[in-house]
Amino acid sequence: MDPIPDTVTQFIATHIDSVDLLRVLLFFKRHPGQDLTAIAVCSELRIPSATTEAQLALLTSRGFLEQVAGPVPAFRYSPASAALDALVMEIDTLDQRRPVTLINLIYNLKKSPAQAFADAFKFKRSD
Amino acid sequence: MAGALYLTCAATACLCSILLWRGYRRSKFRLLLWSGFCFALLTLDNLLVFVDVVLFPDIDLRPVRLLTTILGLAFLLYGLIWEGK
Repeated sequence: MDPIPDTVTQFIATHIDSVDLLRVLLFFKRHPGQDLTAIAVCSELRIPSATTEAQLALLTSRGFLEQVAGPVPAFRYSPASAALDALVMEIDTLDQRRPVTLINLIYNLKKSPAQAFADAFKFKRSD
Repeated sequence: MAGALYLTCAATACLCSILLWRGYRRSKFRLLLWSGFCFALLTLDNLLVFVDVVLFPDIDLRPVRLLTTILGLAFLLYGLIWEGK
């Protein structure tokens, strides 16, 4: 099986805090051009609404989404650069082909530095 | 016997350095990167001990060895203080 590219690992380490955040991002990626409210996202993905609103704000601040003006706040997939869009596309492909690997990567990257230090001395990876 | 011991220490430190850098490649935690540098310098330090005590006992390499150790520990301290959160 091909190793995960360093660009993807770096992207996840920098931009993706949790699996739920990734789910929200990929949901928008898979619905390009659509204006989606927090309620629509949380009902589709079964995520608590308070969490969804925080994640939408976070993704907007990180340059993945843009907020659309209107009576009800809505968001649209609008990456800040073509490079960012290409990376999200790569992760979308990875999510479809190797979802468990991607989830494990996210959890491994969110370890504490001390845990990562200890895990470095394991000869064989358990994941 | 002493020479074998120093070389074993160097090999162990080298192995630690490699494992830490491998861990850094996977996890991107900079603490592992700086720790890897620390163990790389400790590897060099152990090799210098071998050179100093076994190969060239007439030459005093203690200042160089001390500098290598201090530099290695500086990397480790930097990693623990600034990247260890």
